[in-house]
Amino acid sequence: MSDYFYYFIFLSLSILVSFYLNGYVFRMFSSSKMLDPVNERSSHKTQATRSGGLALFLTICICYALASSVGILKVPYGPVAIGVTLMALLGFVDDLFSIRYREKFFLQLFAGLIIVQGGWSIDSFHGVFGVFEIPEWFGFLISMFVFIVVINALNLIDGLDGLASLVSIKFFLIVGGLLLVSEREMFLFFPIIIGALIGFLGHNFNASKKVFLGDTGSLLLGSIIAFFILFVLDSSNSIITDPYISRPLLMVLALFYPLLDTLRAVVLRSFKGQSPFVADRIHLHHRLVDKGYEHWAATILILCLSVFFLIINFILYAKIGLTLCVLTTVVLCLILYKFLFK
Amino acid sequence: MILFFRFLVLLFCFLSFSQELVTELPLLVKKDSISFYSFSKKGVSVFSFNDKGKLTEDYKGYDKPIPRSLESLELTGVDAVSNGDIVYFIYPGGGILYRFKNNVIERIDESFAHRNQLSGKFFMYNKNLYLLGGYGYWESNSYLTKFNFQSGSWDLVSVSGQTPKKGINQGSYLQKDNVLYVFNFYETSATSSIYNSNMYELNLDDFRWSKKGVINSIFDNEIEKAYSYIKLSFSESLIVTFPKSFVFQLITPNKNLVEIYKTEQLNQFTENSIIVGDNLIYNTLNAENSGFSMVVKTLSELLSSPSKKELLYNDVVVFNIYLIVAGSILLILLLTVFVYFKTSHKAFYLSSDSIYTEEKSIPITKNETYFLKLLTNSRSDLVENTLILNHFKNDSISLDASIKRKNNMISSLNKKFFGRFDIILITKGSDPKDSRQVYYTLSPSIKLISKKT
Repeated sequence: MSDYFYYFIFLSLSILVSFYLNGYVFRMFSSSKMLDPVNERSSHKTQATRSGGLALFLTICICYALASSVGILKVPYGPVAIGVTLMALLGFVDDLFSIRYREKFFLQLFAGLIIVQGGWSIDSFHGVFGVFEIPEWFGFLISMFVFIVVINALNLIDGLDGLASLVSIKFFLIVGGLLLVSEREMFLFFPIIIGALIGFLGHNFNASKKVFLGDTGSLLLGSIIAFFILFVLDSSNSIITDPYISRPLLMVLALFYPLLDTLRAVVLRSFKGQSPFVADRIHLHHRLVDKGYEHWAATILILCLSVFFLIINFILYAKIGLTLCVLTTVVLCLILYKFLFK
Repeated sequence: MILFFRFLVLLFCFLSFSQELVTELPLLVKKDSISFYSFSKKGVSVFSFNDKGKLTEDYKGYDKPIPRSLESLELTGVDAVSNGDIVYFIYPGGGILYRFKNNVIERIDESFAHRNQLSGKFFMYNKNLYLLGGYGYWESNSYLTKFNFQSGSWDLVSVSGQTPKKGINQGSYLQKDNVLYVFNFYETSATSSIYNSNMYELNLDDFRWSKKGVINSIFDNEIEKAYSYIKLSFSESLIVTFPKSFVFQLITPNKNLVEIYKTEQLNQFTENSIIVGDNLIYNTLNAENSGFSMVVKTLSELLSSPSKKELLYNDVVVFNIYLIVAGSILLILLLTVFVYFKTSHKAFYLSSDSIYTEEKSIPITKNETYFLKLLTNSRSDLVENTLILNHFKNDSISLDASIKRKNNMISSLNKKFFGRFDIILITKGSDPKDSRQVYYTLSPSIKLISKKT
């Protein structure tokens, strides 16, 4: 059977499994009174559970097991599976008991260490600042930094319905394309995770019985995304887009909103003398909601803008190069901020 | 006696005139850019192209009989590499190594028939002999073994990088300078053969493997066909064709190029072929299997103009199609969300003192709460005018005043609600059977959910 047939089957399967599991886990959480409390920072006023991450994790496990048994999916499972599972467990415990940030940070470092030591790390700047190959120790530090930043960036933007999941879907669609032509045995993972997220969205957008990703979901997605970023930035992997766009720029654009919002939040909090990890409502998506956008509208707007930036950079990169591309993006961001977010 | 004599005569006639069946083709091995060897089990011919392009033959019988283990094999099933006057032959599956030198073929290893590297790639680099990958003992492997001329054994070479760990069976190989390209192969186990669609490079200086991308989908991925393919190195390219096929591919990995040619001149093409200079040379058995004839074709005639050109790996076409599909998926997803929220009932929550959504809220009075509770409690989100009017009736005020207060309340609620949410909350209607019966109903796009406080 054609590979493309399997991709379609597994996309459909994971949508169905995820939709069913999200409903099932929601009912389990509801009957156990494990509901997300409503407070002044909450964006929801109705019954909601943080069960989406668990359902997502279970869906990925089930579909992964099926795909592996067919022999068409070969994700380097050892260290990555351990690291990602550790993050999902950390998130699950955090959803139930609220772990202190220091402990969370330490465990994130530990999971990052497992994945980086597994053989996936940034070993080149791919021409950013004119630097290509970097020393191994520096590559290790950068890889760990990227891992921590990506995980927390995704965790921080998980404040609007569908935002973290749609941003992740966009990321997986982009990276999936890269791996389809360079590492096809890993590609089936993308229909599976995209399907799982689509199934989750059906419950996340439900008005009366909401399901949130929770820390389980955001840390799980964050660690998977971080792994794929390390994978793409590892110079030993061949990436088809190299002649068209710089790899680091492509990865930043693939995860544009979480990184931009995290950078902005950290800078603003630092100016105010606050901890960069303090919880508040200064995120860009909160600004949109406060301006009267509904959750879904704000999510779609953010996603459309990040796709717009990706397309613009793809078109411009060959003509104006990396530095001017970054400058253009910064200028466009400032203009859009002035008109849309201010 | 006469009978015996007749028998002898018949036997003599039979032996004298019967046709000798020649079924074994000689093994052709390239010597240099103008000459090649043709090995049989009895002797070797050295063919050379002279200045006029004519082929000359110099045949010599071996000075010693060939080793016994080689005697039982079909020579065309043996892989050989040449280093000018010396030719090395490897026994199928590896281990046993023969050398042709000074008109003698002799065994030079101190090893045994390994039988675990069948279909592996036997090649020479920097005067060292290597055998890579292959199949044996029910699984494929990616072992790289190097012949140790001192000890006569095969040493396992330590490799690094992105090794095809599940093995290389029936692969296509091409050696170019210090790089060995490996692609179009299968990972075979006792139960299955899975096609590995990646393009690999092995650096022969540091023995580091690297993946280059996914190869074009024009290649067959059925193991049954792979056994029959004919693969021939030509300069920096590999010619791949199928017996009796009119189509062949010229694969140039370092240019990431596959050129497809169609010709009717190659339909007698056999696996036992070599390319010397610009000439393709192969032997074909004649119709009676009684002998073979050597065919020489000029490649430049065959390779005049390709009918099609494709990328060998990292197919941009596949990537572009994917981008369109992925973009469409994202667009459909966004449109679905947009349409869903635009057309679905907008949910509002009703508490004792406010109506709210997840983003906004408005305060409401006790009368408004009472009215809205009536609406939410009714089965069809509908309240009759009389019912709401009763709430406003009071002995101290007139009926007109009660009606006024009711209307004011509904109008004020609608105004307040519209100002905050841009939607009309209450609509007024009348019973079609009796137009005097007025009722109030929720706007059709609104879903009001009553919440306990």
